[in-house]
Amino acid sequence: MSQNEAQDAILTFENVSRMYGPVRAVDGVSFELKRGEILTLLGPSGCGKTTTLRMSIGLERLSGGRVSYEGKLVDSPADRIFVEPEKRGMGMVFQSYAIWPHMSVMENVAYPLRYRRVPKAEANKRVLETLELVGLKGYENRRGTQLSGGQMQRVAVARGLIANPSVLLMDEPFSNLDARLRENMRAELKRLQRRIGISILFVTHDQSEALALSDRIAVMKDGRVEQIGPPAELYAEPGTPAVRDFLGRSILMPARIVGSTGSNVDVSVADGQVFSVAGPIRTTSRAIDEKCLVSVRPESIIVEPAETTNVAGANSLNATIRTLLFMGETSEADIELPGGHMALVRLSPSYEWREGQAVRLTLPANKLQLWDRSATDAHGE
Amino acid sequence: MSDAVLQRASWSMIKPPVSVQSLFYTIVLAIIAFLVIYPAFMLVMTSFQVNAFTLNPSTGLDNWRDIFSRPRLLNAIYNTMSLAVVRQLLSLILGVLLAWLIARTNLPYAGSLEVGFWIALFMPALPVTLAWVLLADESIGLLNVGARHLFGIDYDLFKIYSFWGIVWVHLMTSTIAIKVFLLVPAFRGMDAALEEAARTCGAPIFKTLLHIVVPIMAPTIIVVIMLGLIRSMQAFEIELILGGPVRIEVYSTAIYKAINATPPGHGIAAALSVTFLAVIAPLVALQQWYGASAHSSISGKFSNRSMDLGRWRWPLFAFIATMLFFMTVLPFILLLMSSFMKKFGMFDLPEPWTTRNWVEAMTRGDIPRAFWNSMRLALSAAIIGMTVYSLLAYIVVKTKFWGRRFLDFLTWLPAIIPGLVLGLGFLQMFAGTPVFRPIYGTIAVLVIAVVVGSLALGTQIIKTSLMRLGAELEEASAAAGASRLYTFRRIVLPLIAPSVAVIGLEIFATGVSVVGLVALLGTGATQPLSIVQLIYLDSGLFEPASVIGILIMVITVVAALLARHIGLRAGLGRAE
Repeated sequence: MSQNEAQDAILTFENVSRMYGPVRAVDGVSFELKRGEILTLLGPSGCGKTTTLRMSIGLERLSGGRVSYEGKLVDSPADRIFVEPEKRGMGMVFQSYAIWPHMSVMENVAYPLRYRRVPKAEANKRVLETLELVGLKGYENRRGTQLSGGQMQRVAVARGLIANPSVLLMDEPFSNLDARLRENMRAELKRLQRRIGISILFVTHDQSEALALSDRIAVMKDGRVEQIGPPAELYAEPGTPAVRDFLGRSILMPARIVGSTGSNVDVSVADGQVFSVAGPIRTTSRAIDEKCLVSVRPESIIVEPAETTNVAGANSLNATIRTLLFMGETSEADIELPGGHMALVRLSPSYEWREGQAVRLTLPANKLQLWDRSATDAHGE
Repeated sequence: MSDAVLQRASWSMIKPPVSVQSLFYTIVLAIIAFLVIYPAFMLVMTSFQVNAFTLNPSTGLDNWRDIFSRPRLLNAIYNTMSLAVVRQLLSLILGVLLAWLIARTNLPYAGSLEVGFWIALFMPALPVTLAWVLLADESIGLLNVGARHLFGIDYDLFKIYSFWGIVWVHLMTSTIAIKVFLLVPAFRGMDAALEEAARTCGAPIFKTLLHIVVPIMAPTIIVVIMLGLIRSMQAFEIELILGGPVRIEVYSTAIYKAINATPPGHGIAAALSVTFLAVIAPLVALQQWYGASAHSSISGKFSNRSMDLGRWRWPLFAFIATMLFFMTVLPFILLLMSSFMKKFGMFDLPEPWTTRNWVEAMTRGDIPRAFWNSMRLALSAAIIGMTVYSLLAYIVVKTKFWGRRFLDFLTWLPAIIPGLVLGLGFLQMFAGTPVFRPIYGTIAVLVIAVVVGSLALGTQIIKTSLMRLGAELEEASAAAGASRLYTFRRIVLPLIAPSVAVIGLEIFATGVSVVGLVALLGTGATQPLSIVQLIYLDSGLFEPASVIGILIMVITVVAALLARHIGLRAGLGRAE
């Protein structure tokens, strides 16, 4: 990926915090946006992600810490440095698009060039080029109010790009679009970014958007960055309960540690069955009898009809399908585990399924993770 | 949607069987039509009456010939227009800036400043005019006296009796305040991202105001300008007090002078009034048409963050706070001073301070009587107004009464007519129609005038709050088996009660401070405080006029604060 060739940071947050009265909206956030990457700030509403984005351009001021852009400090309360948003020269796309209704598409997109002393003829040429880039060729004379949501979105992107900034900030840009359009725009944006190589700092609360779009994701919670890394890594090996529960679904089962062999830990789940856990162990201790939680992604569980497998393999248990949900390309099922625990799992299309059916679940050891008992997040299932 | 649902959805539209209800609505329509149209009709009739107060009255065009043959009419039109335009220009620039600062920036104490402008909006014009006379009168004005004593300036630094004096006092009363009041909610409803986007594009903060906020808000701003022009042209008492001595005559004062001439020129006043209406009507029509067509749509999802003013925060706060001090506190201090002085400005007297003015005001008879007249007038007008406007608004919004559109139109008419002209119309109606003559000379005449005068504003505000009530709320009540009357009492009334109460307080404040509308109607025994003050002021008795001014000011400000408190609690006038 592109960050391999250019590793230098273009935007740097160092221990940044932002207070609203006594509330710490952003609390000691540090990260680097690297040249040419898409970095997504992901988290539930109120986690401080939008404030963080707004602080990078100066629409919000820091309470503490430092932000630098292209090697220069742009906001640092301790050094009494603050560069106004209009002097930073970044591009930004707003959640509501902020297309000025009293201007044409041309005037909207050309607006940043007004402040950069670009001659009229050249400005017009660049606007047309940029509109073509975002797929809005021929729309330059429309008024801002004569556009659909998707078109406004494109105008907003064009306006963000026209002045050739090295960073484009995007604040939940797709949240006002309908589901299908949102998926198209997501792919289109990534293609566009790969073509022109701009760095994007992206904010969303939509995990599938973040996973699909980003080179790296920073998951935020309560004003802090919980974990930062490539999407696949975060998904496979979440470092905190918040990341685990925010990215995708997990099935959590209460368990007790019964022993350990090498890096593997053996635990006993509700009905006394012993599982071997080979994934990351996030518990504070590995002492025998320690209460803990085992987590597994639903798609990692292998579900088979009980009658097809008469051998009780390792890491497997018996369960019953209670509710069957046909989803089109896949099926899902609510299954009842021994001890009455319910879990939503994905079913393979290679079998016939029915409600009330006895099934055998296999939980591969390397897909299991171990957590402290208290490690359930608000979003946990 | 099933038929049953459709049927329920149209519940509020089902026409009741021809009934007591529609008969009642028709009577209401007839009464309002009469009260609004008949005075105007009487004006037109009077304008053709010649020699009305002599032995051989006749009918003819003499009055019309008279007004068109004198330069007076043109002169009055010119003065009215130039005063209105200058005032609107200045107040618009300031008003837009102030509204933006209050609604869209991190100006300190923006909420309190907004309350300050609300109070300024209610400040009664006549007492405030008096305060500025006390400050800037050529001989006794404190500023001129001070300048002479301290700096030895031997000419008059400030001339309150002048074109600019009139402009200044208007700016210091409601002209700026009403712009702030009307623009702040509109500015608050604007998506902050529209401004922020401009800043991220490289626009400095004040450029965003010029390039983005003002153009986007243009429809609202234009409506506000037109409203301001209409109000300016209707202004009366400030021009009368400050323009009179220097012969600056505007339309309304010309009409007033014609009536107070000997012999009274009612015919001429009526002819002037009719031409005045002809001048104003197109403007009102334009404003109505534009206001209806220019409803800017505001998206539901937006952020309402405020712009950082940086180091300008506190200087701007100080500027606005000073302005508000000039508008509200300073007039009060001056009236208070004046009311405790033997002769205002005469600090050289051995004993300049006295409580005599207050003692006399309490005991002499005319002020206590005027006080009770004002109270009776304001209270009756408030109670009748709340009832009548609610009824009218309900008929217009929530029924299918055949005449509801016409009724709506009728409630608008009084807004066109300047208070003084409406007052003249009522004078002709009550004094000139034998059936009404017994009412003439009672306080009831004033009450009717005030209720009709506030008809447009009152009905519109209650209409708005009725329209915001979703039909479902009433339909749910109907679905639960409640009758229409029961639904009105238990559902509609409690929900619109706050705006009705705000209107009640507004009429009350108007009833206490109103001048133009009742200047011709209050006779001796029924004169309210405001008219008695006008008489004292006209004859240069500033000290008793100050006593009355303080009374009026205190009553209206208390009503204003109460109205705001109720309004805010009910979520009126705020975007959040």
